[in-house]
Amino acid sequence: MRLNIWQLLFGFALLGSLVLGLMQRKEWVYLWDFPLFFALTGLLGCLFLSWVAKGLVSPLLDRPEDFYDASEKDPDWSGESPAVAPPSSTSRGRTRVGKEG
Amino acid sequence: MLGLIPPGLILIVGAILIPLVPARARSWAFLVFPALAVAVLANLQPGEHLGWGFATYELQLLRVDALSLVFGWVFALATLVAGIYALHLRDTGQQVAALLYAGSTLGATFAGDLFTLIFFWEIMAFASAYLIWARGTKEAYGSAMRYLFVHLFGGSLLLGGALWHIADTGSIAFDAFEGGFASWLILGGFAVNAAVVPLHAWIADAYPRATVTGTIFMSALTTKLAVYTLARGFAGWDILIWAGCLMAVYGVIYAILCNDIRRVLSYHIVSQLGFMVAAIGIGSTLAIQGAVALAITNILYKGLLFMAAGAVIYSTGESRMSQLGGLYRQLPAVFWIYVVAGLAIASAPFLAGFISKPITIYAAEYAGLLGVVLLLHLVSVGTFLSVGLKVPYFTWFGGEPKKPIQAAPVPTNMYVAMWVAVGLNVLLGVWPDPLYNMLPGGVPDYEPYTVASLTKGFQLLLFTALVFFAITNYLKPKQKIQLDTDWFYRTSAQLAWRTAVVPVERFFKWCEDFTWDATRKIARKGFDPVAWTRSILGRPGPEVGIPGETASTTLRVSMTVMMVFLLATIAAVMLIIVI
Repeated sequence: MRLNIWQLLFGFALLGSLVLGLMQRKEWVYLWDFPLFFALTGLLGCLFLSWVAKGLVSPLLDRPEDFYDASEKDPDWSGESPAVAPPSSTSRGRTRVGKEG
Repeated sequence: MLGLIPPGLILIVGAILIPLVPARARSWAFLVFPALAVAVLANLQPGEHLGWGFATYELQLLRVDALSLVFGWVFALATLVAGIYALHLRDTGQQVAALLYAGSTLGATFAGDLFTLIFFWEIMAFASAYLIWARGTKEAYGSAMRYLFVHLFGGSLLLGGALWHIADTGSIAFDAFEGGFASWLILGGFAVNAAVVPLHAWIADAYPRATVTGTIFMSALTTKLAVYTLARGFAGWDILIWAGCLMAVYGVIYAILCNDIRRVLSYHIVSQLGFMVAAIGIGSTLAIQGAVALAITNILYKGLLFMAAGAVIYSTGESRMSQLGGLYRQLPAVFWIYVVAGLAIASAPFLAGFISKPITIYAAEYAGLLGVVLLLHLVSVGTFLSVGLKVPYFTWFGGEPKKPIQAAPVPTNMYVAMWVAVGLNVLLGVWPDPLYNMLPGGVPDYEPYTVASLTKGFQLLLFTALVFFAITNYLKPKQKIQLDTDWFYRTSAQLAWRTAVVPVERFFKWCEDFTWDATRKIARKGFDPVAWTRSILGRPGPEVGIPGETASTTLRVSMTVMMVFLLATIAAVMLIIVI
């Protein structure tokens, strides 16, 4: 495959950051003193967070954009007529407003 | 003498004066007041204070120390930049509201006692709600109402706590709180404004629906003032560490999911506030300095992000990434501005985030909270992923939109404001000393630029980007919304309506019907009382036909109604007298 100039630069930067990490000598006190710790955090953390958000949370909490429309339409307070809401064409999320006056 | 004018007062006076300025000069006149406030701030010295005897209390209208001064500076500067961003605006209501909002924020910043704080706190809630309302859509109307109610709830907690605190201690001073029920109430009030999970839902509900220019003020002021009050009142409270960690993770997960650009940014405010709240919970000098530095720089780059997002919305009228895309050909400058802000928030080297956020993490490491350190590093990854990569990619690139978008030109003043903010971000990134010198407790014991910290920064960002470009399709925003804790009060509104309002309405409707019915019957009998009496006595006389509904009928009906009401009133009065 052919790489464009941006991809090449990106690749060099990746390698450069790894080399820079490996060149430093530092005592290991904490986990994050491991020279490639932040590369791994970026790599695995990104995968992990994407999976949590898109794989776990999204199926649970995603709703259609007009989800709150039903609960926030003009309330039918008289209890007489079946609620005949005019089809809301343009506005999403019609808000609750009191009956006129 | 100039030094003893409260800077907030200048902006509030400005809010009163600005409608009197001729309409064409009004948005320029807007800038005069924050500029004056900056001039006043430059003359304030730590240790100065201005008291005002009110009833039996001595109010502290102006308490100047390192903590209030640094926040005062950034609030005034942010108002100035946001004013430039709004120069094209021709809406006196928004200008007045924005000045009042910024003025009361400055007033609350320099408040030395709880009464003054609460006074300005409540004005802030109303003034900022107007900036949502001014959008004029039905969604914005509902959102502003919910925003107002949530903040009034927070304000009530604060007021209740303050009164309790004053009753307990006899002091109205606003200093560090020492525990007890009153302190917890006040903490609750602050937590609403600081968007502590689960009291945070207002932020993602309101900010995406406010006006393009109003959101800039809101993102800079409300939550950061709450950080200031937390830092002053609740430094070192352990519960804040865990609340902060929860906020940091919670906000970033939602930011990865959301579709609306400004909602991504709003959730990300929750995440960034998490860093600050956690640092305040740690409570060491370094941690507080980190929290303050992060709040200050956050105003700069989060404001810039909202400005760039606002420019896109102003220009295209669309805020959902699922409907956007391929904007780079039309708005390239906005893209590059956004990228600077996105890199700054991800604390890329040589930008403002790099000199502030690592201090909070370093302070956690120094305090031995290793789990917190790991968590905050993870959230940093999510920050770059959601705000720094997802939003720009799916807005300016990421395939063509379903409906072609025609971007209108962005006003020059917006570009000027954005470039000023870019300049401030770069300036603080390469030269943090002015900020570090202003922090409470002296210059922080932290060296931002070392080979190790640069390596960390580059590795984290580059590898996050690598994964992002590998899984872009997986991260594509869906045209959905995500449930949050506002579900509880948004869906229960209908229930409350049915239980509390509908029965009352029905009762009154029944009363009304009954009264009219009775009146009509009496009126009909009243046409010919003699015939009626005869019919009761069983000796009907010659039938008198009831005339048709004529003018005189109406007269009679209304006369009878008046009689009935008169009798009822007399009866009621007599009843009252007897009782």
